Amino acid sequence: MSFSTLNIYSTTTRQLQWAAARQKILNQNIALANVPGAKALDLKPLPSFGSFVLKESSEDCTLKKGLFSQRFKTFALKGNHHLSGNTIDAEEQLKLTNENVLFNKQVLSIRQKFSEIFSMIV
Amino acid sequence: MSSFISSAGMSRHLNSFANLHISAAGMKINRLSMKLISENIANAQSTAQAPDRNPYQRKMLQVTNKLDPELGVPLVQVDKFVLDKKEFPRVYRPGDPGADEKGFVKQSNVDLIIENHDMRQANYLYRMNLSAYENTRSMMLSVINMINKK
Repeated sequence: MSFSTLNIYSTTTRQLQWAAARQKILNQNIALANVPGAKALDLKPLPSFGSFVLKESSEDCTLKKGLFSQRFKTFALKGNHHLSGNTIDAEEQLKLTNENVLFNKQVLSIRQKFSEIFSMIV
Repeated sequence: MSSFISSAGMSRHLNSFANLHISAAGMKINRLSMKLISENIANAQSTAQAPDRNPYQRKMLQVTNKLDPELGVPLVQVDKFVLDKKEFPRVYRPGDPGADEKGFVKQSNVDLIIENHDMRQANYLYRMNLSAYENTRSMMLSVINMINKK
């Protein structure tokens, strides 16, 4: 695995997009926390960073593969059903948004570190 | 190529202003709920003005999740204001102008305990939405900061 084969930019971009899309879903959940019948949703997780980087770089994921047109899949979270049919637990959702912010920061720092390394090499 | 991908991806990431609108719409609904609850509490002691008339009827908010055509995301919105159909409690007050021939007056169907509970819930959800809003904002700011550093 050479350094040049790692497509860090597209991988981290994809992860940032995923974090933004997940934030949207989680915000939606919190906004609907008091609405009868509303179901808690979440995004399916992305593969782990290492496998994702390798897969992305080996497949040469670029615009032609529709990197930016891909949509993330959602799934319904299991939760206690309220009498109204609402399955949203607001505290749980807030916890997930906090986790998502940390994930976003983590991806950004990885990206920044690689930018610094690349700038030293080039 | 990779820098092109990254800038395109970044702009899309920043296009998540809609995420802020989702939380803001939630806060708006909570604020309206609080307003309605305040109105209910203020009128809780009201009675019928005449035997054939009804006193203040408890108001409730019905919300729905509709797609906002401009933003392209579903936002929680007010569907309609509805009146509580619960029966009016009657109190014996023979001298009241609103009393019927047996001396009973219809009172507002607002239950202060329920209103208090609803108010706490609205307040709590408002804070939850505000925290979600702040989290989204911090995510966006960290991306902006990273772009600035480049």
